Amino acid sequence: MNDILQYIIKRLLWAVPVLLGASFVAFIMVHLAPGDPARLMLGERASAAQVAQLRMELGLNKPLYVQYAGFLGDAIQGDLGRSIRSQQPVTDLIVGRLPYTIQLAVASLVVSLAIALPTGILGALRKGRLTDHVSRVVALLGISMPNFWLGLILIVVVAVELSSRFGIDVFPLFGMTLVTEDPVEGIFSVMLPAFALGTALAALVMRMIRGGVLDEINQSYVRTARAYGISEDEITYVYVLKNAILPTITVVGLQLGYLIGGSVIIETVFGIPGIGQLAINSIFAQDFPVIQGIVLLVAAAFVASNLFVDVLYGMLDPRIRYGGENA
Amino acid sequence: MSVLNVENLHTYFETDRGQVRAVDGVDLEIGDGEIVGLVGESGSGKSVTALSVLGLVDAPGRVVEGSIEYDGRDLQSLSDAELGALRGSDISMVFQDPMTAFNPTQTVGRQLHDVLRTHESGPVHPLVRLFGFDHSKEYKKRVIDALERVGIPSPEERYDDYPHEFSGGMLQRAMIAMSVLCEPSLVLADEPTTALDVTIERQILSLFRNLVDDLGTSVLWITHDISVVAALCDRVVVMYAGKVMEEGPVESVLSDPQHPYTKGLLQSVPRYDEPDRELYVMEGSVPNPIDVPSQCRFADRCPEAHERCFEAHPRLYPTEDGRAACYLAEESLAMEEKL
Repeated sequence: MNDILQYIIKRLLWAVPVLLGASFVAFIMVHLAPGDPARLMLGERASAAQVAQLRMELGLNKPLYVQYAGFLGDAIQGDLGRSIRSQQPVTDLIVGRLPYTIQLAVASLVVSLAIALPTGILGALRKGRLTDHVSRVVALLGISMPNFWLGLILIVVVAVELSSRFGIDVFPLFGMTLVTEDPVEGIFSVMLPAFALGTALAALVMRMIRGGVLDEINQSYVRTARAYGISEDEITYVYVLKNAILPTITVVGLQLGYLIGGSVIIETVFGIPGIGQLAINSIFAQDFPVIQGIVLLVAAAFVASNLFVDVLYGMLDPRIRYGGENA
Repeated sequence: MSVLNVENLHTYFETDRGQVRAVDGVDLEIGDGEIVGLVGESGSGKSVTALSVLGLVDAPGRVVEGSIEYDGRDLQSLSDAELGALRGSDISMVFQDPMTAFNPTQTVGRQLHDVLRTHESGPVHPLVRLFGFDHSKEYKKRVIDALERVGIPSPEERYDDYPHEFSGGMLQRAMIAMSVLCEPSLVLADEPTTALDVTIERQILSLFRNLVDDLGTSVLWITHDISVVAALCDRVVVMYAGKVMEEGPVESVLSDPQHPYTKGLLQSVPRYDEPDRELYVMEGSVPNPIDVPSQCRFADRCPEAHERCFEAHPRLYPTEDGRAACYLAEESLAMEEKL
């Protein structure tokens, strides 16, 4: 366990240059983009002098490296600046939106695993038979269906129809409730967007699991287990499945980072006040402190989910050892 | 009394390029407490013969003909569950490469525990196994005893080690411990020393010899190394291209082989007491197992082949104290009858 702790600390130290790089890229991108935030804030009719005055107040007239140093210094203290549009601290804005995005991400992950695990295993065990073909076609559909379209269809077919025909109003057409506020309403409100977002991931994971199981059932140790009379159920679900899931964890973990980054489209379709929606609004408003903050957050989410995957992998696969002399 | 009696076994593989006759009419008998060596080149059908006995031939392979009798029971008529109960408990198997034969993500002790538990208290639901509720101290103790018996040092600690933490030799010892865990009456050993160093090989051979003497287990020892047969076995069966070429007691087959193939095999083994002798090289190569001709399988490479050999593959003719699938054996048999 000590090895794992050391490894985590090492990986966290490595995250510093990664985040530094991400912050630099975010900063440069925003500042090289056309458009002047000061002009935007004051409107078309403001005089050049007013704009210059505001630029000075915001520090926009200073050289880029000075601005970047200032941004970095504040960011280390958890201060990502203020939104140009709403004047609220960026940190507050992000923290306020994050729970919605996390709820959506976790629910999507649950939905995708609930679909992918059984179909992936079944597809591999019945390779070449009807079950396999059906699950593969469904997976193909899942991958190729745009999720905004699936989202709209779900709203129209499920939420609207249930409400207008049967008077069942469990699925909201717009917005999302947090489970921390109202567990039942929260779960119902996240179901449709989670399904829309989770389907593509489910298709991906299903294929990974199917391939993993197919790889593993041809390994020698499966023949050994069979030669020693171990039951087929134990071979499949204990011996094979654990080994087959290992490579899948990597894929799922990386997707987790992407989900936290916020699904811009699904949040827009379902009117969920999450990170994705904040990102869209900020980009349209050229609210660059907020954009910078979100890019940093997404980078951090990727670093964190990578670390999480590596640690989990090591706990499941005894062949992997952290650090130490024999690494 | 024989433990295993295989008669006229045919195991074919249906492939895209045609039917592969991996085992093509093999007879094999293993007596009580006997160690039988099954010798042959790669692809001669040795392993498939052993796998056929346990019903472990993977698709597209299939036993198409023949009978396999174990302890008077016809193994092919058994249900999957009955066969499962037999595997690892009455008949067990030792595989060639211990590094891949064990599951890499389960401890070695746990894998042996699973075998013991399966045969003593039956299979469990995967969830029960996943959470380890089936683990018993008594089984663990017996597994540790078994590991100790095969000469694994500090077995209590090794119980919780994973396969990659073992050396190849130690892991093969663990596999042997697993094979005798339920005191089977027959062990099928499929080239168990091929992946190991020569020094380790000797240790494993003497370990096996001792176990067999203690438990009275019969063994089918599959190898391509005829010197191992000389050191370990009572009887030897020589296979070539899916057919049995010769069989008999080890001393007589090795000192006075009747079949030209066995002769060639023996002459191609280097010997330190005859350093000047040139090694014999068998001309040609193993025939294509797809669309085999009806002639003697060895005829194309045989230095003593004559007209008859190209007509049909000979059946096994009795020799002095064994059998050989060669017309030369038939001729000497006929000569003896005349005398």
